[in-house]
Amino acid sequence: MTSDRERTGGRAGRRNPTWDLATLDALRTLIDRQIVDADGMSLARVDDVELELHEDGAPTISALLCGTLALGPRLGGRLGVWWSAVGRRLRGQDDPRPVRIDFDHVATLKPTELRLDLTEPDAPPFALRIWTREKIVTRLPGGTR
Amino acid sequence: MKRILTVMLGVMTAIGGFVDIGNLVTSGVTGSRFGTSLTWAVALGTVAMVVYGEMAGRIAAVARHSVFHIVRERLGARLALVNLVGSFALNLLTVAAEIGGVALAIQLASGVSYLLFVPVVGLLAWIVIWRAPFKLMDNAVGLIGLTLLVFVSALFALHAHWGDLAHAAVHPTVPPGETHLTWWFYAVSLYGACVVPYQAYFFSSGAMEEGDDLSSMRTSAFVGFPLGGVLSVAIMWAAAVVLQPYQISGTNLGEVGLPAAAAYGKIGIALAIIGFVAATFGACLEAALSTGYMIAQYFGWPWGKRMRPSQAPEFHVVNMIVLLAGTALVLTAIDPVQLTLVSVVLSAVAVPLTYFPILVVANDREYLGDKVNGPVRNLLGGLLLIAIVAAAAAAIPLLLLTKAGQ
Amino acid sequence: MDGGGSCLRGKAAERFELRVLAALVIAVLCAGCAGTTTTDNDYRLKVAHTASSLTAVVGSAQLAARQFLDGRLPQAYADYVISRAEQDGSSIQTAFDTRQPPDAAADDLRNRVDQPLQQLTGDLTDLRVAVRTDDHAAMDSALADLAKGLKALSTFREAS
Repeated sequence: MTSDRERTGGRAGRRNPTWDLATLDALRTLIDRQIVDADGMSLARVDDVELELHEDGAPTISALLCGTLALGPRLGGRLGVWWSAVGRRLRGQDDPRPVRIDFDHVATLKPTELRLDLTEPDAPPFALRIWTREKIVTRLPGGTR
Repeated sequence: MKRILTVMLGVMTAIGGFVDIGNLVTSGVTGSRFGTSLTWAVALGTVAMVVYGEMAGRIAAVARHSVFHIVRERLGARLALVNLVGSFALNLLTVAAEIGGVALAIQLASGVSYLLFVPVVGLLAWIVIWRAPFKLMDNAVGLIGLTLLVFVSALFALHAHWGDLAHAAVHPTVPPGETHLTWWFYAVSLYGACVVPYQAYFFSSGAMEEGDDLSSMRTSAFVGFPLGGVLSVAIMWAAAVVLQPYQISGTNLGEVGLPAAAAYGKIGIALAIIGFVAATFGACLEAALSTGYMIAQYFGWPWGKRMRPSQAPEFHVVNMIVLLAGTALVLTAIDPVQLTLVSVVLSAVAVPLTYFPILVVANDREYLGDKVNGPVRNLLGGLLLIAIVAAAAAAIPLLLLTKAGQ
Repeated sequence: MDGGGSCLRGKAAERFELRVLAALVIAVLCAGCAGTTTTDNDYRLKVAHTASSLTAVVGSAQLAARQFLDGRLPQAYADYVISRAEQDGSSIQTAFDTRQPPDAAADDLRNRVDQPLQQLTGDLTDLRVAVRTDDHAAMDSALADLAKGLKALSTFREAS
C-alpha cells in the first residue's frame, strides 16, 4: 500500500473531497490541543497534523506536528512567515521540519487530555525551549536548579 | 490561621487587579467629582468578577485547565492570537503603569523623584517572580495590601454622613457641572477595572500553581473579590467626603491619600502609602505573571513558578521581557495614571474574548463532570456578559468623546 | 473550527482589526490636541472649563497645605501634591493662552480672566516654595491669596 505523507491543516477538506466527516471531525478535535508527557507535564500544542493518505483515499493521522515551524504556516500572513523564520533560525538546518511526534506515542486521548507515553527527556527536542534554557535561564543565578 | 491564608489568592488577585494604580486614582476621581453616584459600577464589576472568577477557578481546580488554555482550544489558533496580542499590549501598558505607581508611592514617602526608583522596582519584581514561592508572594501582597482598609475606617473617623452617601449611591444622578458622557466614561472605567482579563488569567493559573481544591478556590473568590470591591468603594467614598468639598478632580496618586491624612494624620498617610505600594506592586507581579501564563498556555509550553526555571524556560523569559519592556516604557516619563486609564478602557474590548470561552467551558460536562453551571449561574453569567459586551462597545467612543474623562 | 474557509476570512479580519486599532490609537492621541475655538460660545465654554480645572487644582493644593500646617501630612507628601498642583496649574494656563479669542468680545473676556489666572498660578508657586522651605508664615499668606484668587475666578466658572 503506497502512502503519501502530507502536511495538512484545516485546508485538508477542501483539497480532497473524498475525505469524510469523521476524519475532519478527528482533525478538528486534535488541532490546538495541549500535549502532555507521560508525567503530565505540558510539552507543546498540536499546531498541525500529519496525515497519511492510502490508496483508497481514506487518510489516517500519522503524526502530531508542533512548534514554530508547524504553527507559522498555519497562522499565515506576515506574522506566520515571521514566526516560521524564527523557527528556522533556531533549528539552523537547511531543510527545517517541524517537531514531529509519531501518533503511536499517544497513550491517552480523552476530550480533556492528550497524553503521550514518552517522558520529556525522550520526547523530540523543542528548539525554542532549548535555546531559552541554555542561552538565558541557566546563565542567571538560580537558573540551573 | 490556615483558613485565612487560603483566601489570599483571591485577596491578592483582587488587590493587584481591582485596586491597581489606575483604579486607585479612578476611585479617587469618581469620588471627588461624582460623589458616591458611581458606586453601582464597582458593585456590578465585583459581581462580574466573583461569578466569572469562580467559573475560571472551578475549571482550573476541577479540570486542571487555565483560562488561556481554554481560549486557544475553543477559539482556535488565529482568534486566540488576536486576544493574545491585544492582551499582551494591555498587560505591557499595565506593567509599565504599575511599576510607575510603586515608584510614585515611594516618592510620596521619600520626596525622591519616582524615576530613580523605577529600575529598582522592575528588578525587584523580576526577583520575586524568578525566585519567590507563589504562596509567599500571595500571602505577602494580600496581607500587606489590607492596610488599605484604613480608608474604610477613615470614613468612620471622619463621621461621614452615611445616610447621604448611601442615598446618593443608591439613587445615582450626575452632579451639576458634569456631563452624562463623562459619567458613563467613568462608569465603564470602573467596571472595566474590575474585569481586566489579566485578573482571570492570574486567578485561574494561580489556583493551579497552588493546587487549590474547589472549596478553597471558592472561598478565595467569594472573599477576595468582594474585598477588592469594598476597598475600591471606600476610597471613592472617602474622596467624596474629603476631596469633593474642595472640588478636587483627583488625577494624581497623592490626592487619593489625603482622606487618610484627614482622618488619622501621618499614621493614616503611612498606612495608605504602604497599601499603595502593596497594591501597585501586586498588580505589577500579577500583570507580568499573567503575561507569562497567557503566552505559555497559548503555545502549550510548560509554565508556572512551581516548576524549576530550567523546566519552564520560555515562561520565565517572557516574564523577563515584559518586565524589561515595561520598565523601559515608564522610564520615558509617560504618565502612569493616564496609561492605565486608557488601557483599562481598551481592555474592555478584549474582555468578551476572554470571558465568553469561560462561560462556554463552565457548562461543558466533559471538562467539569457534574460541576457544571446551574441555571442561576448561567443566567447571571449571561447577563453579566451582556453588560461586558455593552461596556466593550461603549468604551472607545466614550474615551474619544470625553477625551479620556476631561 | 479551523477549516479552510476560515483561513482567508481570518486573515482579512485580522488586517481589518489592525487597521481599526491603528486608527483608534491615532484618534486617541489626537483627542488631546488643542483645536481652534471658532465661536464666541465655544470660547466662553473654554473659559468656564479652564476656571473649573484651575479651581480643582487650587483646591488640591489648599487641602494639602492645610493638612501640612495642621501637622497631619508629611512634608514630602505635601510637596508632591502642591508641586503637581503647580505644574497642572501652569499647563492649564498655557493651554488657555494658546486659544485664540475669535472676536473682540471674547478678547475682552480673555483679558478679564487672565488676571486671576496669572495670580493663582503665581500663588501656587509661592505655596510650593513655602512648603519646601517649611515656611509656615509664607504658606498662610499664600493660602490667603489663593482664597482671594478663587473668589475672583468663581465668576468665570459659569459660561454666561
